Amino acid sequence: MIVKKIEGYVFVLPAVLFMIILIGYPLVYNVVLSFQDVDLSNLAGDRNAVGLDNYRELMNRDAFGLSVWNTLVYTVGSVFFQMVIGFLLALYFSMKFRFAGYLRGIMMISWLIPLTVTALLFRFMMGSSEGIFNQMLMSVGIIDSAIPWLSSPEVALWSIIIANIWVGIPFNMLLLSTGLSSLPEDVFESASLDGANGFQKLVHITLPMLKPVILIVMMLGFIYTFKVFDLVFVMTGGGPLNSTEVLSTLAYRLSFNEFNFSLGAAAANVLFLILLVVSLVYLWIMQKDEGGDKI
Amino acid sequence: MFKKTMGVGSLILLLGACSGESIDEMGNTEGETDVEGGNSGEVTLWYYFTGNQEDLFVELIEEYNDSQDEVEVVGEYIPFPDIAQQLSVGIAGGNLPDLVFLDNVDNASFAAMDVLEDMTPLVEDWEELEHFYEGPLQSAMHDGKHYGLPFASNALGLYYNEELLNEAGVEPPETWDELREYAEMLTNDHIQGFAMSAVRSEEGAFQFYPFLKSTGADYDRLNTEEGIRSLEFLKSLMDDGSMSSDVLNATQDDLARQFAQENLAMMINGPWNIDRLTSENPDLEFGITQIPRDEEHASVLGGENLAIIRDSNVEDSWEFFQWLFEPERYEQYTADTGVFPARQDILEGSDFWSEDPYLSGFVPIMEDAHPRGPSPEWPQISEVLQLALQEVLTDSSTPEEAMENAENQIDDISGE
Repeated sequence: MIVKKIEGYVFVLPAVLFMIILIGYPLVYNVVLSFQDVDLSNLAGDRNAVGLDNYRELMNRDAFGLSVWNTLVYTVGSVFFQMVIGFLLALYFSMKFRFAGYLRGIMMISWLIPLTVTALLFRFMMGSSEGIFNQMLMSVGIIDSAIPWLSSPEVALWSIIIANIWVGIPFNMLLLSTGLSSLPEDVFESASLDGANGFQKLVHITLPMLKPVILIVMMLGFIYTFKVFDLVFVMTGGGPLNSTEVLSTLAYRLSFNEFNFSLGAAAANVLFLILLVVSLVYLWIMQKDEGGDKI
Repeated sequence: MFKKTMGVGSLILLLGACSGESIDEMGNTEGETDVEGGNSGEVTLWYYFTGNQEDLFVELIEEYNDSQDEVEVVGEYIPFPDIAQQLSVGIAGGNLPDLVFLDNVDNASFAAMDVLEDMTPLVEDWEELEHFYEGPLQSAMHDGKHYGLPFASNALGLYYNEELLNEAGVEPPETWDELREYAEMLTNDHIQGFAMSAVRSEEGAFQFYPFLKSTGADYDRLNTEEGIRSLEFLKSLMDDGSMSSDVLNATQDDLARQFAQENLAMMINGPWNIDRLTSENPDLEFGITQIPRDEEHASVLGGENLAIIRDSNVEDSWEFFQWLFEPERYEQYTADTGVFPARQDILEGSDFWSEDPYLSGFVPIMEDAHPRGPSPEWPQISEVLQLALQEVLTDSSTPEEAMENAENQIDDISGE
């Protein structure tokens, strides 16, 4: 018995070591850093513990509250529309028409393009005078004057959300498609025999049976979206004003523009804490769903 | 999930490990063994030049290494946006170069953070020092001491599309009033009269600085009639429709692209974009002149300084410094790469710059080019300036409110 137990630990040891060195250490280092006063001058020298000062200073910065809010709006807005559109497309491609498989494959392209490239493309397309978005919308008469996609503080965040929705749809569609194809056919057949129409089948059969998949896609989407950096950094750099500043770009700016590494670490930790809570909820859902043997 | 949620700060460490390795492979540890020994070895140098500038600089290094057998200079390319990050990584990991090129605006803050060697004792007895321009030299100083020397300089000027100005029958504008008037005349459905970069980054502060300085204001005198006037003027260009709100998200490279496509009649930009314009649109006819003035012509100084890392191989580094700045060699390099030398004797003694059709436009500009700051707090100050400019251009604040707010913040920053 005992030998068997030790054997088991030996087998997980490499994975545990890997986790501790590459994931655990940076996390702990970042937490320690956020309780110190580190800038370039004492990065390698004497560091002073300052307790919660960094977190207090962070709270006092106008940009902080705004960046938390922006991150939430960005995440909820992106995930909601990605899910809805992804779900509709998944339903559409589940109709098994000719070429459906190929077309679904082609849809994946937007997810495969490196995010920096996507960000640059959208930045060009969303230019207010020369961008193709405004030119198209104006030529068909949907809008009269150019929309300042990325240069107005009121619009810029939504412009980035639009870009991100485009990026995220295929991922949602693919997971939901897989979920849809795993639903048993016979339930639908018997509903049809009972005279249920398509909409009734969707609301009363498809959605309830798909609920676990939807929840997991939502959680993954939230985690993936909440830590956005590249899209925002390339499209607006957090501007105009602080209208598109999110937690990750704030942390970057504090660390590498102001060289206030401790303050940057504090901002990164706030991001981490929020995601930790969401991840725990995700693990809880997984556990409930699969009978508790999955962690 | 934990893997996905690592904070940005923790990246410092991972990067530190990587870059440490690469430097070790080159056989350079911290260089402390060299301090007493004098001529004993190796000088590592970080540069961020690309293209022609890089090729010629690498040749220079090779030439130096061949010219003597005591010191070996090893150049290492670091992309420009990463210099500050790599330096911080180097400090954390204990692996730093001996020499580093810096954006001149960062020189003072790195000096204040004890990263750079005080070169005052070295340059004081150096007869070449008196030939340097005052502005560039100032940019490498902190608390009255020298923490580097200016290597290459640039400044911002007004680029104008000659064809469009001729069609409208106007000369390049000299004053703010003319700029406003002509910009409005030149604007139509397809062409913007004027653009600057008001983006939320150092570029935005860089571009705003000439307008601020031209009124007589400065970053420590923002809430004044002059400071407010500079914002009012830029706002008026936008209200007239002569400047698009796109400038809030436009980098200087974006401006150059629009200018090359002839969608833009006038813009503020620097000499590094000349090549881009002539290669992207060989038919483009353009000229460069001083940025129109309010009280006086003013521009802003950009460029790179060369500095020695504190407690590194100072002696050998200084030898290379002196060799690099020898007039003939330095003139050759700056002329071949089309940058402006930081030495007055060279810029004035050579006809390369004054005879080049485009660079000649920058010769008078260089004389009025002010370094930003110099202040060790420049990164924070710059942010205040960027925000003030954007607040006004997005109609979030009046120029008065923006400048009052900005001045309060700058008082806080310098008060700390």
